[in-house]
Amino acid sequence: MDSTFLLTFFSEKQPRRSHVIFAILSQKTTGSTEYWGLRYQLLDWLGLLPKMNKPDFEKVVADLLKERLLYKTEPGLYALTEKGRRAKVAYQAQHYQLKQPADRYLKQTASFMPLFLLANQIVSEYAYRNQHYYPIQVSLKERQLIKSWFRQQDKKQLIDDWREGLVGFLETLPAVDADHLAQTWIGHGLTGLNFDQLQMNPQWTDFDFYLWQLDLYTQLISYIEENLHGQHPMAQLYQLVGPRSYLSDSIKASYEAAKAGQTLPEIAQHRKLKLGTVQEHLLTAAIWLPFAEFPYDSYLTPAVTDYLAQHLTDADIDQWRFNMVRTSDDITEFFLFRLYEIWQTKQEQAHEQA
Amino acid sequence: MNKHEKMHAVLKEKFGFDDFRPGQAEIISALLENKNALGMLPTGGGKSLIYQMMGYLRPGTVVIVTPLLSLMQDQVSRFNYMGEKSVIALSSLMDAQEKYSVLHHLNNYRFVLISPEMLNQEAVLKAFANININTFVIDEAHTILSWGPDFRPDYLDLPLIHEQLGFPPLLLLTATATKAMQADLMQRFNVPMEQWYVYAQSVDRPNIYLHNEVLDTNADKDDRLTTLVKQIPGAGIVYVSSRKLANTLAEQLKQTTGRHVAAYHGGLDNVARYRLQQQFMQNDLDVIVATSAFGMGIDKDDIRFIIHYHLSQDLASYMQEIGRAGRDNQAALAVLLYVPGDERIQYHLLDASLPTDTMLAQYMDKQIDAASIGVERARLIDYYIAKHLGLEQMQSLFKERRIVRSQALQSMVNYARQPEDLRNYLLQYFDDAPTSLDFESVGPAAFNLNVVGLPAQLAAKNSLPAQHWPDILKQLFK
Repeated sequence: MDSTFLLTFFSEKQPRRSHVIFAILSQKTTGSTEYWGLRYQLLDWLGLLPKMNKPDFEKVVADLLKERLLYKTEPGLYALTEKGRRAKVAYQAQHYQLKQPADRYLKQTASFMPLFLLANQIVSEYAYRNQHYYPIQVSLKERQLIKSWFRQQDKKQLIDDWREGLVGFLETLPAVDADHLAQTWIGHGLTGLNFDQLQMNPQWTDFDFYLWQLDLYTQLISYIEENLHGQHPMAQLYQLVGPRSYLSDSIKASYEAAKAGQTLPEIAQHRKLKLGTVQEHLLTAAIWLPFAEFPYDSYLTPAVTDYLAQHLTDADIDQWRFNMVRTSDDITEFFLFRLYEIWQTKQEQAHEQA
Repeated sequence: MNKHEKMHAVLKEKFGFDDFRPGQAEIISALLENKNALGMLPTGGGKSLIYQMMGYLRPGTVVIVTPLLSLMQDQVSRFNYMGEKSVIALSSLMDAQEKYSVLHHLNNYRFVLISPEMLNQEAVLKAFANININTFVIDEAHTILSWGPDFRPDYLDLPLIHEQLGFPPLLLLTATATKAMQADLMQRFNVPMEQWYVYAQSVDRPNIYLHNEVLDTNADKDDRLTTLVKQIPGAGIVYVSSRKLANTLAEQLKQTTGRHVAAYHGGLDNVARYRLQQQFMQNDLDVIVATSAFGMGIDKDDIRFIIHYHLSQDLASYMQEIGRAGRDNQAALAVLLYVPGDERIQYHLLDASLPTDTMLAQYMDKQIDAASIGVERARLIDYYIAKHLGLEQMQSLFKERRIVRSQALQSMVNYARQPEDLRNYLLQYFDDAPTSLDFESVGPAAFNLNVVGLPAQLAAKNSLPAQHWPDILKQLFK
């Protein structure tokens, strides 16, 4: 990854916390970092760089500061300088822009890619009845998944089904993309080409190529979901990974109960959870769900919103602080404050997009 | 069937060979007699076959301690290629659940590859203590001495681990250890001298032609490199000391020589690495420009030339690297290109790899944390703290290491500057007897490919790879 890529996540108008950006990219979020991710409109980027570590990230931020592409507004908060803004625009013009960042996460494309490559190799070698080859090395878990997947396949149909699935998908792509993608595949007598061996955009880097692949494999997954029946080998392969949700099962359970009209203390009691945990569940649900799907009215009563509106007068929601509205030690106050922030943010962002 | 008949039967059945290469049968035989063995076979001498054979000759799990993750994966891949499925690499790439599951079924595996760091974890060691270990193999055993003291301290604990595992049959394998290193290695393990079997072959690779050139400037070196890559037929590796340079030189050579060239370094992802290795093995690629990460696990026996664009860190590494050429025993070529002052890069790398006195003091005083001195370095210092070494002891230990490694590097520099008698210089360094073989030259003017007598190359592949997806699918699935 080119360090300039990280400028993508900073703004010249809104100072942003670098640790929030790190938490989102590396998928190490908390309720608080997710809220700030919402404020920065960066949630679609969740988990893009799961292997990135904190020292490396901090070094990049330090380098960007040194190059005067970023400046510090207060400790931990950074904004783009004019030079940084120009560098960000220039970077975006030269490099690949991920088209489906959120789908990439929800469909788990990054986990699907290595499974697909190995399955494709295995099917190809099977077409030649060859058992004497070097398999692409994947993790033990992935290897076991692929092994059981292969065992389940109807071997009479496998090669035809697999090929037809690929043909169907590749036909939906622009010819250039389809050719490039197929050139990367590994199989019998074919070692596949690396990025620098493909005749692609010379301004791109390996990282652009990775993003490009994420988009194409996300499209492949959509194609599988929309066009292939559940018994198709490729659909079964995708089932090993499967789509995921932003919300864990536990959060979903709390949210469903709330939507069905249970009060928070009732949910806590039924689910044997602390009240604070249930409140966190609902805040997470509010952050990730579309505006209309969350029962804001059940909590943000006119009395609550009136009070909060009187005390939170700054037009910039980023400036609101809990101690501006706090009256007691009751944890529900923070829940309402944060929910109000989310409610306001979602309306503001809907308004901006309109 | 007696022991030797059985050995030959397994060799034929599992590997398809009729005969052992020098040293293999001797070492296997000693292991079967419950001796511990130190095998020093030249690179390409078939070291891995020894422990692979052991897996089929007696029950239990063969445990192979291996330094690099990439090497481990290559070895697993090779086992798979042979049709062996009962093999696993226990590595940091596994999540906790995978690791747990493997550790609980350890005795189901015929071969387990593992790093010393992983093996040195309490839970891991406990699991290994509970299984029947067929042979405890330390591959590239010289790393105990070269990496243990100042880079990978867990290597130093291997003798203790061997003891904690109940002294399973031990096999140390290396291609490059001087006599003194061999003795040092053996005495570290708590094994009586009479229970050792040592097989040490000369490090010499008589089929590799040695050629050194001292050049005035980097521009001259670039020119020479281009000329040589254009001129020498067959597959080759160019070794450089940085990723960045690997990329630049590969690009440059692609443009100037018209050959198929690619850069290989530790920054590549798994699949990219796989593709390059396979392309190289199938002769789709002619030349790899690599950092030293490349080659340890490469199973290609017809590499015809190795060119060092930079010095190796010492002669042991240099022998390892050039030893990747000519494993088919046909003529091959090792060229060292040197510009006076090249050693500065190696000295710099050496300095950067050792903690300084101030760094040690500040870290132990908690004025700086692990992140600011580097996680690996912190781990090294923590290791010695755990062994109750004080600041001054540590400072003098690293000072000593700096001297030892500088001397080793100086021998490399001296080799690069040798006016003649290259082979005997190398042999003498490894305490081998001198040879009268004259298969070498020094200086650009003395270079004559005809003298090397490289075997004729198969005609390059004429067919271009398929460009369009329908053709690619046809090739993939018939």
